[in-house]
Amino acid sequence: MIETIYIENELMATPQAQRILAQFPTADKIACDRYTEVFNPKKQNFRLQKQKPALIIAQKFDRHVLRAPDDYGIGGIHNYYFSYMLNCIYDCRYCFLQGMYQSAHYVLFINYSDFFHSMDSILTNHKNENVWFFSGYDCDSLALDPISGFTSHLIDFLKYRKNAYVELRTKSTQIRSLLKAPPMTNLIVAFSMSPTKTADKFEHKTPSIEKRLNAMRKLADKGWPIGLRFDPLIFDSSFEERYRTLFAEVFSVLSPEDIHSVTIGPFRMPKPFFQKLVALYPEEPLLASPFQLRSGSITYAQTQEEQMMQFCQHELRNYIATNKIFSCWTGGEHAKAENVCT
Amino acid sequence: MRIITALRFEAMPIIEHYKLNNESSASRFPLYRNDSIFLTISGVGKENSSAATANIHAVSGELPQQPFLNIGIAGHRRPPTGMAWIASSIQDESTCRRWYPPQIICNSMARTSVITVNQPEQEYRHDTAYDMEAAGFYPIANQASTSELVQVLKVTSDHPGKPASSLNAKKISALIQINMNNIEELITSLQKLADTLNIKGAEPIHMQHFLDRWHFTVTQRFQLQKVLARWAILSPTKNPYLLLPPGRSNATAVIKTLEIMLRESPLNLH
Repeated sequence: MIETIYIENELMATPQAQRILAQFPTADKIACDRYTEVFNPKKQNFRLQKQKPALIIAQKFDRHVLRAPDDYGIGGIHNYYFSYMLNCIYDCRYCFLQGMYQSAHYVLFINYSDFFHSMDSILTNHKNENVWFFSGYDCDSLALDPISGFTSHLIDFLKYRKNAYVELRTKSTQIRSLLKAPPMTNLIVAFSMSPTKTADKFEHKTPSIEKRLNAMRKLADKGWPIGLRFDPLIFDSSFEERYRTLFAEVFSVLSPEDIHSVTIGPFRMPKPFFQKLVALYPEEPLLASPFQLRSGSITYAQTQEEQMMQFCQHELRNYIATNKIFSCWTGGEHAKAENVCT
Repeated sequence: MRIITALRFEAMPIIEHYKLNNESSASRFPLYRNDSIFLTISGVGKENSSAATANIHAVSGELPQQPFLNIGIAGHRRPPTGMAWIASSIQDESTCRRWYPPQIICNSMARTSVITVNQPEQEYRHDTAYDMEAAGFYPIANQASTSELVQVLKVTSDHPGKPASSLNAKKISALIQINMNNIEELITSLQKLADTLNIKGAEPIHMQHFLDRWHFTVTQRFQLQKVLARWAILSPTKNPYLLLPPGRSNATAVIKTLEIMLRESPLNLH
């Protein structure tokens, strides 16, 4: 799968880097001083690189944990996010990473302890309060877990920090390290879900919806709290039928008690990212959909967006309590009526 | 495809293989070409290589997203001679600047770092290829194209047991000749990659009908083009010109109506 690995010189001899390199005995290993020499310089093409991305083993020196955007959260007051990886092994056509980065390589920051140290500092600032840390903003949190081993480290960290809550957002079925550990109430595994046809059409290289549901069921059976993320909602003429079927499918496999939270959010993307996507994939019908520019984001027309959100909220209420449903976008009026975490 | 070699002896096997025609042998940078490949001979050294790369880009029409390939011989600490390498990194020894051509082409050729030196290398201190052009070629080619399409192929010509002084024209040509399969494979792969980037969005349909009937400013023409291109992607079988309700008196109204019609049309993405 990975045929080229770039590695920062300082990390070359570390046991963690050696453990990762050993998993790819035939890959070309290329030394660099800093990952930024390889990742995201000008004149790179995301679409071309996506054909064969390399792994970059790096360390992150600062800004390990950042305050989450205002519309990002699931009920907590203090929301932060962190990215121990940049980019994703999947190739979802609606993904904003395609617009954000020039490079499709995967950057793995292996100085996990620095991330945990930053989280500890934030926890100290919010003594006796719950703090949420979200992973999965710049990457899929679990897709490369067998290589990164991050989840095991995270579980060890969270064991003794009961007020630290983490969401691992994923489309992956790489759940082995979670299944091996006892469940924790402060670690939520949140699966991004789309109707089967939508996933087949736009979520390239991802596990099928059926496989994601199987993974969720296994985790729920072990007692892990599950998050459901219906985000982004993708509109077309069969929107209602597709999402109604999806919700029925999901809740035939999971019971409301298995679910920690559900979020829904319409397709939205900063305008410059969207423009880059259109340039990369000019033939893509999804990107030719009737979007509008609103609050600096490309999204559906407000009325349409509200209809989509209201429909999903209404349907979801057939399966799960309203206080578990959150919306992830404050650009529309619907935000005022539901649980919106800011 | 734009190919830059330093020496005529390096270029000859490629010229013969692709039946390239001599376009301007008398100029500073001799140019050979066929329908899809341009080749130039830069002379030795990174300054020559930079200048020749800029020149071939200019004389080949300054087209964007074209593949650029530097082919040549190089010293390497590791024998044997005749081994072909793709550069995974390029370092300019005199400035310490470094570049990393993305490695996204599947082929069997080995990868090596390349250090571009000002004088032929005699000590082979590092496990790397030593050449005299790559660091001149790469940054200029990378200004003209995306980095995935800019690659360097080196063939080992000398190593500690076989110094560069033993080389002659015939031997250099032979080293390139025995690697023509590798070169051809790489050129084909690069051209395929470049083709990926040439995928265009749908052509705006029936645009001329609109232009003939209403007056569009330059900005409006661009807006019309965008909405008709989207129309072609989403409703390729429907003619927007025929569907336009009568009574649109000007370009603004036409564009707005087209957008509304598109928004209100059934959208089937699946």
